[in-house]
Amino acid sequence: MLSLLVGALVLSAIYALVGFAWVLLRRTNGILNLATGAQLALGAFIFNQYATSWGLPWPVVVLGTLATVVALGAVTHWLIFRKLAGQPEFALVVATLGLASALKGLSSLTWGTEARVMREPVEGRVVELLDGVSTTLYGIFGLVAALVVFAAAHAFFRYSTTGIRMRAAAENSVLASQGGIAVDWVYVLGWAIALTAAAIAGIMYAYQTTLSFHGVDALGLRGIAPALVGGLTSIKGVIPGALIIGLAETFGVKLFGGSAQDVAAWVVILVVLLIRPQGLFGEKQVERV
Amino acid sequence: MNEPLLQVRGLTVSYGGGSVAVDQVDLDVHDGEVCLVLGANGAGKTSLLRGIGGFAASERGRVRSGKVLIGGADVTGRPPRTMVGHGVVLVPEENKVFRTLTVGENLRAAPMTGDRGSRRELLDEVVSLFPFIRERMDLPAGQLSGGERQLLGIARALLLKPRLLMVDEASLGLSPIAVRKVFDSLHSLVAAKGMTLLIVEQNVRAARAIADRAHVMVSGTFALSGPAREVLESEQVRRTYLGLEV
Ligand SMILES: Nc1ncnc2c1ncn2[C@@H]1O[C@H](COP(=O)(O)OP(=O)(O)O)[C@@H](O)[C@H]1O
Ligand SMILES: [Mg+2]
Repeated sequence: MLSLLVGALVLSAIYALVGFAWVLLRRTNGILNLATGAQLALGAFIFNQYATSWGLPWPVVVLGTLATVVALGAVTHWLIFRKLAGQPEFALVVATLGLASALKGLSSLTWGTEARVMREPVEGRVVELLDGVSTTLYGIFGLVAALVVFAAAHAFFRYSTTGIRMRAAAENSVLASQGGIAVDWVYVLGWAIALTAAAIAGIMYAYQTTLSFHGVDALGLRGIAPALVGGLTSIKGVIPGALIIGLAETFGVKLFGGSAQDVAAWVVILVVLLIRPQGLFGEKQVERV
Repeated sequence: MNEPLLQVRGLTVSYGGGSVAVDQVDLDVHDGEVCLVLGANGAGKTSLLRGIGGFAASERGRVRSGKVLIGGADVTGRPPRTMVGHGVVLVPEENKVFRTLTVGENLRAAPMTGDRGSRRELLDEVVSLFPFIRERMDLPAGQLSGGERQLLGIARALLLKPRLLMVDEASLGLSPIAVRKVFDSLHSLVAAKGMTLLIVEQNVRAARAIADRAHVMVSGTFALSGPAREVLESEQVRRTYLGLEV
């Protein structure tokens, strides 16, 4: 039982990172990014290329992955979404769908469709927490990474000038531009942060299972569930959402077998949409008209 | 006279390729001048200011023809952020502040130029112009009163060191007392800092005290232009703005 809870918590941490990527992009860039799953997988494959195929030293692998992902974020905005400014949201969503299948094609051409095992930075990946309760090093790392990302995001949006400008642009991009804010760079930053969180989640998941485009992609898509629980716009709301999905999926699989994995997340999505489409923890608008 | 700070020539603004909101307008604003644009709803006043201050890529409006020059430099059709770089700052008609940001964050969102010391100095100066800001620093701007939001919008604009400050309908939806406050502030900006203003205003009584020149806009063009005193005393304006409608 405790073992299951630990497993659920570790899974929740990964979902929290995925949900963060969904919410950040929706809120800052105004895009419901259906390519989130594909980008999760892409991040993991890039990491694997540096780590396993090329066998680069670990610091180079980490920095190289980060740099590549950030550059991809910049390219994504500059070549695609900047050109779509002013289009209705459904056009942007369709563009992300196109992006997702382009990335999928690119990935299977470059890396094939076989599941892979990634080179590991350490030996002895299993850590015993208590008698009979264990997790992997990657599970622990995922938890720590999620905590760090959420704490850093909180501080960034609250205290840093850049973070405040991102919130300003997210609320009203025209007013932001009239106020001298470089809105295009805000969007680039939005993509960069979202893709980084997505890559971390993809890599952690691949270490705990195996690296396959399909597996990581599916995780990324299920990650809209924790984002929806938070109303798609609340970063804080992702945390309870991730816990709900993590628990539902872990216990669902335990009770009903592996096929419950996808079902659990989508059941939560349906329930949220039916009961509270604005999200269980959607942020209240402070306004006075 | 010197070259005007702002020169607008044959400016035509349209939305989505279709309707023309501003039709071949010429306008000069000199350094230190306060220029007033009057006109009925839908006359094209907002579109004129937007055509000068620039449309964002996400908007439907665009400058279809004509020229906008600032200090002699051609800046026609540039996006708002570039115009801010040229010293042209607009306080828009709607959504003047970021409602979900606190008052303090609204000010911090303004990308100020200059070194730390001079930024601090300008911030202090602006806050002392609008003392309510100090007490409301941590309040979400959406909870401010309409007048305070207007002043916060102006304060944010001042942090960008405008050479030309454009204010669209400063008195819209405000109580008479709030209108007084806003115009007192504009007045002191002009008196103390020699600020160049281009304002759109329906409240002629409020604007009369500070305007040097005035233009009456009708269906996208200037129907009447001249020194503010003459234009505002004209039969047409008295009848429309100081008579029944105000
Ligand atoms: N975003 C817009 N899209 C389409 N038409 C617009 C838009 N904004 C203004 N217009 C049109 O342009 C004309 C002038 O509007 P506006 O400049 O807002 O006038 P005013 O500020 O004098 O009330 C109106 O006919 C209005 O319908
Ligand atoms: Mg208007």
